[in-house]
Amino acid sequence: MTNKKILVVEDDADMRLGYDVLLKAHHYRTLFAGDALVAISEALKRQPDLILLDLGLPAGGGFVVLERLRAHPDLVAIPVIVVSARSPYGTRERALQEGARAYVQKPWNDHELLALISQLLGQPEYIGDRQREGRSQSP
Amino acid sequence: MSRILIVDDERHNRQVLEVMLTPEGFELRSAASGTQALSMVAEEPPDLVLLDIMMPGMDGYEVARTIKANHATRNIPIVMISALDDRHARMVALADGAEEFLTKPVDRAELCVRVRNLLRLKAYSDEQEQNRKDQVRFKDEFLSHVSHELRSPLTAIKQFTTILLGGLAGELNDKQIAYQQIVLKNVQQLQAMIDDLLEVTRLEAGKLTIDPESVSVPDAVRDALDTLQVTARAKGLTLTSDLPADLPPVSGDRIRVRQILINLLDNAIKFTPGGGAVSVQARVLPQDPGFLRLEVSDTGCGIDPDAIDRVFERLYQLQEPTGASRKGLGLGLYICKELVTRQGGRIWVEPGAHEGTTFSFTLPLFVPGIDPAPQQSGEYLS
Repeated sequence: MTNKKILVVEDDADMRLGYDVLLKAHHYRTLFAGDALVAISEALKRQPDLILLDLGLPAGGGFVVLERLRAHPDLVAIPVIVVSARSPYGTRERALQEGARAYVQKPWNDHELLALISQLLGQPEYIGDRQREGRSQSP
Repeated sequence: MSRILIVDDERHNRQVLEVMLTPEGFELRSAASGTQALSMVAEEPPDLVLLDIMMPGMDGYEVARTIKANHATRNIPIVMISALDDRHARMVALADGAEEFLTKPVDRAELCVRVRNLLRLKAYSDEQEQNRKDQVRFKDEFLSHVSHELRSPLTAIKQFTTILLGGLAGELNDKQIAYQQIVLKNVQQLQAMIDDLLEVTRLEAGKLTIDPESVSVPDAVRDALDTLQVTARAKGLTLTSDLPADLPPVSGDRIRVRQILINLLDNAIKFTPGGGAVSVQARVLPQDPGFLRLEVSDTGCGIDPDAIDRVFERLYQLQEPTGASRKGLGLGLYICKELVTRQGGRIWVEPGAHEGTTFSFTLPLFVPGIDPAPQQSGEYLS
């Protein structure tokens, strides 16, 4: 039974609920932020073990969140998975360059997302190869 | 203000033209040789070039040919100015791409009129070119935007369908599971179509680049088979590969090679009825040295001879067997062809040896230190 805390940064309320059901079913504790500002304040206040980060966010966007996380000594070590509906080309490289540990394309595959989360939480040195190599899922 | 480049090896001749054109309000630059002219044109393209023919070293003909051969500068009008006034010199100058030919000594009024006319045409063609670029960019941005917006609600649909199917909202009965699986299957189709749409946008905007590297074919085949094994099994198909042990690596992009295989296998699975087989073979053939050939064969309904030449066209849709799932966008094989071609190979289709259909493609063998795959610039494709 894990009680790791995951901060989900996502502006779409439906998707937040979906994450909540999925992550709780896999015994994670969930925290939520609907914009970039709340994301940073929640991260500082609650010190999550991992962050799932959407890129298209009000009040700054996901890249601003990545930048703030990297700049803050208390937050820089938290692994971040960028989960985005944007075209992965360029976005993936940029996200990884700016400190994300993995990039997952929306709509994702639950199995792969969960595997990635547990790998990043269990083995901090692991970097999601499959996510780096290609589309995170195939039709 | 229009920029005009005056090219003449004699200082006096350049000054004469400068004196004639200065009152017209042009921005004038001068070059004293062909090579200097070409580097100035490359650095900051002028709107028009006044070009002497007889110059030591590189002559005006060669300067004109070089400017006209370059995609980025070919729309710059050239006025050849020469003491040569025979018909032959004029014809050569015009054939080499000069728009006008004036004989020295130049008449000021005529020079100004001809220059103004050419500048007007140049402005018009610049505008057309800009419009074309704007349209390509708009289409590109529009499609990325639309794809992005379509993916978001699709993500929520997929999220909750998998939540229901996973029993996370209570037990489902068999019928409910079957129906949710239909929802999920359609979500995946829609997802694949959005991906294809984005891929074609990238291909046509020239944004798709291939960085050739050494690619292991057995790894790519295994990845592709793993990805589609579930789909094949669900349809009652066997999905296998037959690879010699000593396959050499090919030169290409790993992700793209895998993508081509997945597209072809997915297609084969779609057109093969239950109980059939889909297989991948790879080998190096003596008649095709330097290349490795991959084949995806199925025991499906075969291919209409009329379709053989057309299946790789954009938006071409194969006639599917009755009752098959609905059509896709007709982009999958077009994407395959583009990806194979850009990695230096060929792709074709033929009826299978006994039944069904075989799609074949080649990729250049990897040679350390050499880059055999042609890197195409997007500039010329759009």
